[in-house]
Amino acid sequence: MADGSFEEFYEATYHRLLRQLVLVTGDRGDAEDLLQDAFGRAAVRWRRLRDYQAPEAWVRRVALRLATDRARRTRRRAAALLRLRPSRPPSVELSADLLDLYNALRGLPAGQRQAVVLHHLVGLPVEEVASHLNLPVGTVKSRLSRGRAALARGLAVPGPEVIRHDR
Amino acid sequence: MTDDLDLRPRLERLATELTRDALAPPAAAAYRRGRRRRRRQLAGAGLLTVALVALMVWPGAGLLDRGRPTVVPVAPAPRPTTPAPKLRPLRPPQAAPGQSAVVIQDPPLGLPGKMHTWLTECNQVKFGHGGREFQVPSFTIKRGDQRISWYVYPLGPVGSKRYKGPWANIQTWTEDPNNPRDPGSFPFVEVYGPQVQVHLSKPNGRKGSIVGPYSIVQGTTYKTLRQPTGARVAIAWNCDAPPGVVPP
Repeated sequence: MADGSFEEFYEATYHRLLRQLVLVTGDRGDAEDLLQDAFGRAAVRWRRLRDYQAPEAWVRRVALRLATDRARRTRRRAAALLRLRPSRPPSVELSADLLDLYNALRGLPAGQRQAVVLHHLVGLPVEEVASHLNLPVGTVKSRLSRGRAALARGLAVPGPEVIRHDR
Repeated sequence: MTDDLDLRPRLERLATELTRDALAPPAAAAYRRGRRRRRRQLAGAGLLTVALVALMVWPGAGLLDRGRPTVVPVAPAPRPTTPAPKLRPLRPPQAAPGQSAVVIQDPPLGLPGKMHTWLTECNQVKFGHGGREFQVPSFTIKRGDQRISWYVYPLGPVGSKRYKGPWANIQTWTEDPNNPRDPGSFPFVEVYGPQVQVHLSKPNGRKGSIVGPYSIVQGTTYKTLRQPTGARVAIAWNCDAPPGVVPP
């Protein structure tokens, strides 16, 4: 991105990052708000950021951190809301299979959802996901494994067979 | 990680559906948002600074931390019996890092007019019930059988009955292996009273000077043997030695 303007960077990455964030937050409004916040932070330090190898990763990382912070802040309120309205409907109409995926994704804990999106949608290797989320690789592997198992249950797909070794 | 759920295309489709018709707000909006946030941060930092400065200059600030007073207490004036002697001018000496230096006018008790030596560890010491003081003690100087050391209490003790402000003393005694005596039982030079001036380069008392008329006091009994005259003592100290500066 050397010598690129912030506007060019913004135009080139906005939609891609929004698609990733919307799966993490589950709500387009929240994703847009977080993304604007992250882009705002990038804008005021663009002179330094434009020399980075991947300013997009910086914005994604900031947005994910903001998402985590926001989720933590509103955990109690969200818990109360979830009790009243367990499944938050999407803001757009979805086909049955996508609605299943949406609900299964929404049912994951935030950490697992972030790991799943970064690994399976963004396509980051496990090590990079760990670096992105500032977590040990083992933790990310565990979150991915649990997340995938939960998604499999939600999508009514048989999960990986577990072999028990009885002693 | 394997993707036997075929997650990627499904996630792609879901993301596409959820962000369908999404329009990117103008980049200028992000700029404005970032600048607003930065202004808020700067304003918050400014407010915090103002609050901290206000707290530091507040007259009651000293009460919050009595161990490190920002205002050096002044010793109370004794009842006027005789007019105070006219003091002779004396500039405090320079003290190298980790050292202390003394200049005495009309040196009593066989003391030299000028001395300097290393400081031992400057620290807070306790005495009595709840009393404490920050002390700046010197190493002991040897001159034949004579031994000399001095102590400065630049912040004044807390909880002392005798001393209500900054003070210093210069002790001298003789070493006699056949007749060992407590150094504290010898007469000593005391610098204390309303005419004593203390200058602290650092408010915590680790660097500064004390200048004032001196009296001679008998150790143990604390009886004044000689009232102050116009002669003065100046002691400078500097506890803050950079790393690597160690006493020999």
